[in-house]
Amino acid sequence: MAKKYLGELEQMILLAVLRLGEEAFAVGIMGELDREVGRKVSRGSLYKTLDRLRQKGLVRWRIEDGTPERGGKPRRLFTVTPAGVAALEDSREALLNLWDGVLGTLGGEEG
Amino acid sequence: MKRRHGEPVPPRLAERLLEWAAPKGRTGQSVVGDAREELSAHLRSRSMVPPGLWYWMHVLPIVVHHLVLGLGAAPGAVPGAVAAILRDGRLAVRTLSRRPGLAMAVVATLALGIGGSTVAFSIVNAALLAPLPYDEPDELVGIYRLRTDLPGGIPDAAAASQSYSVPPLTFRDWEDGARSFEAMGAFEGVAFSYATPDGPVPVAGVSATSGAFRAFGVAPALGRTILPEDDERGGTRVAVLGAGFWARALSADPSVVGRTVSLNGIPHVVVGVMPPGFTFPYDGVDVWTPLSDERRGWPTRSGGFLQVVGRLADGESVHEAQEEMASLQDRLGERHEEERDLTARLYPWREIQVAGARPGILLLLSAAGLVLLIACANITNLLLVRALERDHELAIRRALGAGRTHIAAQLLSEALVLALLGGGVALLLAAGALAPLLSALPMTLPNAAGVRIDPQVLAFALVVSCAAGLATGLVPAWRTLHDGRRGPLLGSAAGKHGRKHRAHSALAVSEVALAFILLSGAALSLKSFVQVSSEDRGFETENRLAMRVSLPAEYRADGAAITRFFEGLTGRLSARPDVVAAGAASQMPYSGGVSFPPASVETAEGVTSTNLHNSAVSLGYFATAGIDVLRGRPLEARDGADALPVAVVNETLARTFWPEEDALGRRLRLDLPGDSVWRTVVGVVEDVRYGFGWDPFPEFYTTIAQRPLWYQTVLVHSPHDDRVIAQAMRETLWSLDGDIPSEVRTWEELIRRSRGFTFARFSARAMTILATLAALLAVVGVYGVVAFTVRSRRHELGVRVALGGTQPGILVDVLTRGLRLAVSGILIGSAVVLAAGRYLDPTLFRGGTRDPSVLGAVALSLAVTGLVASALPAFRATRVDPVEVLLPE
Repeated sequence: MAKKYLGELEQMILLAVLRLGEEAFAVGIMGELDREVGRKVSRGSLYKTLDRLRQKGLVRWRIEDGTPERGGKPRRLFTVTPAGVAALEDSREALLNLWDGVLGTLGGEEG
Repeated sequence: MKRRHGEPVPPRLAERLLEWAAPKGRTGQSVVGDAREELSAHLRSRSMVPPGLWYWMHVLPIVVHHLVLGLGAAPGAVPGAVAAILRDGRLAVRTLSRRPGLAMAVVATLALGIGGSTVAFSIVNAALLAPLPYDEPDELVGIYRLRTDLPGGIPDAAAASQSYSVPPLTFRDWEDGARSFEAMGAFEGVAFSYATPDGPVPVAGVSATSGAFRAFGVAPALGRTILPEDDERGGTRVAVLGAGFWARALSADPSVVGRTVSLNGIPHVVVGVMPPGFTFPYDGVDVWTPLSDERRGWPTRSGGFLQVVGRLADGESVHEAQEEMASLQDRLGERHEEERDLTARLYPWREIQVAGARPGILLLLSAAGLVLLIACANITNLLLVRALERDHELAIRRALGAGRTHIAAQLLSEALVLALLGGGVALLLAAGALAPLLSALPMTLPNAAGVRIDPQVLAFALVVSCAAGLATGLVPAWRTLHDGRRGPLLGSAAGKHGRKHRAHSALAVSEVALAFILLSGAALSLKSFVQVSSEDRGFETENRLAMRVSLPAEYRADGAAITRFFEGLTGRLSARPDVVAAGAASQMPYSGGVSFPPASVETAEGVTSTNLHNSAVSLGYFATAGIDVLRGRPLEARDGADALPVAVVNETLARTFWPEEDALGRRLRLDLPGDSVWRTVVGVVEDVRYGFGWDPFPEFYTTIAQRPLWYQTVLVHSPHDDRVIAQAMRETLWSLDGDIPSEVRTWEELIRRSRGFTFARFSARAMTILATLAALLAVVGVYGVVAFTVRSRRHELGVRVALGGTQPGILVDVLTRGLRLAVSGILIGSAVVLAAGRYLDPTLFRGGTRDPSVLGAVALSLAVTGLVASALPAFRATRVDPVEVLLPE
């Protein structure tokens, strides 16, 4: 079966979840993406992508009790599954293979 | 938006909507929680966007999308909402741009409706919702001293005769005894004169205790406010200046603190300047001073003159403070005769500020809401017609696989796009209309200066626009969803018109009904305004000029000097060849306030204690004001200081206390310190009304000689040029004393500037504008429905003509149709007006809400406009050419 690669936003969100570790909540993920890559993601897109990643079995979440700041509402803590980590590695590998030698033709420095 | 214990609390309605739109269960709860968490982050970011608005902006797209696609679409479709909305919105914009005429008509109609509501809301927002410009304004209360038998509610002028302002002795007992207050202060309005190079000018002042400043808790812009040591007797005279006066009279001199200004000829040291926008107790106060020694040392508990304001201590409720004050006053009643049968009652400060204006403002908002409803009904009709015309297109789209939900969602999106466009134009309209409107607004409206398009108003316009979009789009969308009986591409629209016409007609009828309600409201308030304006006031206003004169302190102790001054001044004025008559009165209608000192009247049952309005007048006053003497004689020169004390009473007083007997020869007296002699009634004069829409109250007049009051309004009757006479009045005054300030106004101007008049006129005008708008929209609605009927019946009409139907017959047929719509609407509308009228505030419509002549006239005019609206389509119907219509078959 042909490998399926991740979309750009999917990769970014998975990486943000990994970087945040025990702090990977929705609002935190949005903040991380904004801070690190300057990408402003709407809540709609974030939820939609996270839903899709869960359907693919790449993330899972558990629901924790809320803080007073959240009016006591519960929050979802996201974690990347082993399948998610594997998918990220596949995507990275695919991109690196494709990048290989391209920088030279673009006139940049060969890394 | 409030912060409770540091956590942000989003607008409740918005959060409810989000909960409803989010998936159910804990996952959905976490979405709501995320929104809260983001809101606190937003608060920390100190963004310019107000948190309430921010939250609404985040929630609305999700809710709208849920509404659009959630009607049967996959549950939990919240994610991606924004994208889908944008997609539908883009499609809607493309579709609408193909019919720019329709789009423009819809946007313009909505802009008028939403614009009107937005303007009305901005007034409501400023007057009733915006926080007062004080710290923790909810803790501020006014404390009244009222007769125990007075019903609840804030005493207005009519009830003022039942209420007692507070004497300093009582205030001191309250201040010492009450525990529920962080601060309590007393104040009274005073008139100062301030010397300028062009002569002295009057300055609005307030004398207050330091507690009043502590209660309001506003820091001065410069220096300090009035402190407890200023309350002590015999201190240096100090003054706190208002920002306006500081800028106007002292060129905003930053080193003004410590300088001396002369008020009423007495030097006062400026100790501070208040910031702009500080209103205590009302807008436009120029100077605050401590209470004068004379006022502070007022020896008795009868005849109060102070108003009291308090700030509740932390954790105290109005209710607890009310209980405490009531029992405090009860204890005073046990100790002092004058405090008996009185109680202390608390009112929130805001309530006191808006008391009279609230019903009028809310009426305005409701009227604007009705206009918006009519606009929405109109647009629904337009969109329904358009959806019918697009039946074919929509059928093709369904044949190509578009789901019914999807098509419904798109129709809804089109309505939303139109509504948002309309809302945008409405905001521009509102922003443009506010400036001219503000100048027309009575400044007595609470916080009139605060009427502006602020974030709350923006949020209101946004919510209203979305609601209008949903309301107008739902009917066409619902029709698409539930119109399952017809297969795509089968049949033209012709077969189903019977049912559709009913929907259109129902909308047109409701428009006429709403327009009827609004027009009746406007006509009733106009009639009430005209009625009150033309009420017999009891005095003549034409060619009358009034000048308020307060004598400086050196005159005040000498009754003879006061009498000499005012009789001399009016004598000199009336001696002028261009003056018909001149007089003076301590209390004159529409100039200054009214007061009701305690008094006693000898009646058949003995001596009755009461409160009586009274005025000390010069000998020429009745003739100058055109107040007729009905029985007995007017006040005369022989009623001097040493003669028998006499009084002239008005009809209402005579009727109230001596209903069966002749008033002449009866006696009454004031119960004031230094003024409690019995006065014998020598004459009865006609009633006068002291304010716009007020009823006459019992009052009596004395000569200035027998009641030498140092403040008088001088009245001059002259048919000559106002400016010449005004100048003559000032010069005559200054020939007697050059240090007395003066301001001359025509009596008519005083009436036009009075609070009751400006507000009644504003309401009547605003209602008329809104009602005209409503009537126009309703006419367009009736026209649209009749025109649509004619168009879709062309075939039938063609057949009728071919079979020999006459033009008059067709004309009558179509006109009848229009008239039927109008009459049904009128009937429903009048039923609503008759049923709802009794719940409306009676002060708004003095003539009553069931005035048959007004309702009849409104009904007739609406019926005629219904006919006119049907005339054009009816004429078109007679021109149907049977050949052209029937040939394709």
